[in-house]
Amino acid sequence: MSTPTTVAFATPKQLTVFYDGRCALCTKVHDWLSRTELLIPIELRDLRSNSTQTEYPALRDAMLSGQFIVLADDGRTYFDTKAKLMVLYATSRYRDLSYRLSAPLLYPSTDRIFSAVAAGRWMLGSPPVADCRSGVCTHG
Amino acid sequence: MLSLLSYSVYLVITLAVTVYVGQSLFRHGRAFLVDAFHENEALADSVNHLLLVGFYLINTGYVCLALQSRHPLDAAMALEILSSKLGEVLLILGGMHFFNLYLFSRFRRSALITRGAPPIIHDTVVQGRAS
Repeated sequence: MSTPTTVAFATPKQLTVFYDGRCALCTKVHDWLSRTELLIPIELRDLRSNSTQTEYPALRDAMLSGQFIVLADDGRTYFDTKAKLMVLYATSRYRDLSYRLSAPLLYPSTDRIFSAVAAGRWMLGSPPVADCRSGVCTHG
Repeated sequence: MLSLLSYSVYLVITLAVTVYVGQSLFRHGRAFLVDAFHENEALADSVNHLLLVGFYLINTGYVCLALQSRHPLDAAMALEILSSKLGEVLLILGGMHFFNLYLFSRFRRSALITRGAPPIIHDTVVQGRAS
């Protein structure tokens, strides 16, 4: 990576998580995150909403391809498996697990499992009832 | 004569395998260490080299200690002794190999936890919100 080391390993102050508001599993993760104790504040945005795509033009292509994205406050961006590891890292309970799963020995397996879950996310759980028109989803 | 031949074969094989495993760890372990030490390549190379020296010392020491054996009475017995000695050394080498891998992972994790750093390096850097 060509970015300086200090940037790569600095602790982010906030994370914005872009998730697919139309997938049941993703909205379950949304609900779980809003109940979980966090070490780093997380803002959740539905990547399918127009306002989110307008607000983050640099990520629009990634959003359109339906990738799970995490954006740190300083612009560091993580996609798919890395993004999921960043979500675990932001939680108090699973930070240690995020380090274990990202270890060079385990990362290939983590990637395979997370990718398989992501590929099957449409089959997992019932369709969500969510209102994401404002860009921030509410469930009820 | 049989003993001398067995000892020679034993030494050639065990030392060759030791060097091969050591070099393999040295080459492929570097990436782990560079990651563990946050891209500090000089420190990673230094630790990698020290681990290699330790690996060679322990394994060569064990190979030498394990050399001593019963005096073979015939070729079959010589082969048997050679095989069991080689097996012992290879098992020790395998154990050392995984122990080194464990150390690499441990270095990496403790370095990340100490700094509270993210577990992985980002994919890209983008500008945040549109103004």
